[in-house]
Amino acid sequence: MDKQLSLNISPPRTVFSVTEIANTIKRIIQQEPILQNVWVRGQISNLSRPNSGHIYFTLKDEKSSIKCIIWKSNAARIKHKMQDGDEVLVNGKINTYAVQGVYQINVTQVEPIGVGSLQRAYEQLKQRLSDEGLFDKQYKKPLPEFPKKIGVITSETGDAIKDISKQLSRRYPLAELLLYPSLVQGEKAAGEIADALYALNRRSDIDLLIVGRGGGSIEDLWAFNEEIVARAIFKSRIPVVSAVGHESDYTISDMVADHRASTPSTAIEDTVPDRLEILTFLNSLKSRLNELIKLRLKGERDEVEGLHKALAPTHRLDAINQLSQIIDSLEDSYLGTVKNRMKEKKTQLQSLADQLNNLSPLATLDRGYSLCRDSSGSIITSSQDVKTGDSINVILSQGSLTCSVDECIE
Amino acid sequence: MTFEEKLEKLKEIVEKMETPDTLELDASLELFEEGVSLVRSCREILEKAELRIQKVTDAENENDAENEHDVMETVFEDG
Repeated sequence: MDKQLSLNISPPRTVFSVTEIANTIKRIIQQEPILQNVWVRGQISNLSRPNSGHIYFTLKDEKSSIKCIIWKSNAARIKHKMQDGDEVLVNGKINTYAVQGVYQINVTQVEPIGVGSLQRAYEQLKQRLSDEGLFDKQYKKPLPEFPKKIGVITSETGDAIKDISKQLSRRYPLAELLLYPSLVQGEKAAGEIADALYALNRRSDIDLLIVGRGGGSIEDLWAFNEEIVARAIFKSRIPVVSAVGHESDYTISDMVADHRASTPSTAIEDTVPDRLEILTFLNSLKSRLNELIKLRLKGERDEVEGLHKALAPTHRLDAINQLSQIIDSLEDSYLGTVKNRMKEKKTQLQSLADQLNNLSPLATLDRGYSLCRDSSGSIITSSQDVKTGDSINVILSQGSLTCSVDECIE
Repeated sequence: MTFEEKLEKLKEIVEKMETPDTLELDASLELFEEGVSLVRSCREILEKAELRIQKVTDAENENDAENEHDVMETVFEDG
């Protein structure tokens, strides 16, 4: 009876449609600021990538799960390769999907959990080594100008050694390469790289070291962010070039090394000369040598000619010049008709030249005589031409002497 | 002489010849000849050089450099 009565007096029901109630829920969720931008940690499951390009998965922990969707437009920007079972952090906005009556995370970013901790380890190690001074400029060793033997620590099968040997072969094949094969990723890599650095430092024939590998994910490059590698590089007696990944990858190894190359093949460009440049340089040296010797010979010739002029009687030279001129004019105007006269003049010229040659002081000098000139270059023929203390120049058959006058005797 | 020593010597020669006053003509000519032959020899070394690649093997990691042998002698084709 009571029961009946209570039913009768219950308040009038407000009935909603499913859509209405879904919209209400949607509105409430949209009004909650926390849900507009959340980072949620969980494990990926039920990952599906249909042809639409959107990515669907469920994020779960021990007790709960939540559906997630990455729209196609965002999917391309997700760097992490997602797999079922991955522990990840997702970032996004909670919204509802009324068709299925679910709420879900509209995901815009996915980060593997590992990376966050790797990033922290990286920052901490960087800070610690920096405080210790391992990155200080004062410890950077100069690289050899012409490396003779380059030790390369990298994977035997990776791209790095291929790129390095190709570059070196092209630029400067005079340098030898010594490959020290080492793992460059995975747990054992750092230990192997460090061992290789110590081993190569025990040798005496290596004058440059390159440690590195080609590009990869931050986890792939991780060995080069390990303290054991950093310390081995720092302790290296031989200059070390770090060449890890691509331009944008900056590792601890890069900071502690004597030189950071952005990629393995850049390591070679940065450290060895280019043979074409050396060839160009050699050519320029050769041209310079030629110029210098020509200059030198010209200088010698000028000196001899000057000597001739200074010593030869001027009037004879004049006579020769005059004759020479006559012959030129004869040749010009009477060519062919006055051959005999010309010949005559030529003979005359020849005899004058011979005479001059016999009189040439140079021939006399050969016999042991010498010539004295004062500071103005005039020939000294009398002791009265000079004073005690004057500096005079004595020309010998071979070379000359600068003398000072001790006494003038009449 | 190694390649670098040759190159160094060549630079010295040019430097000496830049100050001719200190040199006899004969000495200049000798330097010139030496320089030209160094240029020729350096150029030959550069043009004929082929990259030598060696590899440290596991056994050598324990031992000395003396045990090293050429693992691969590669010649790369290029200009």
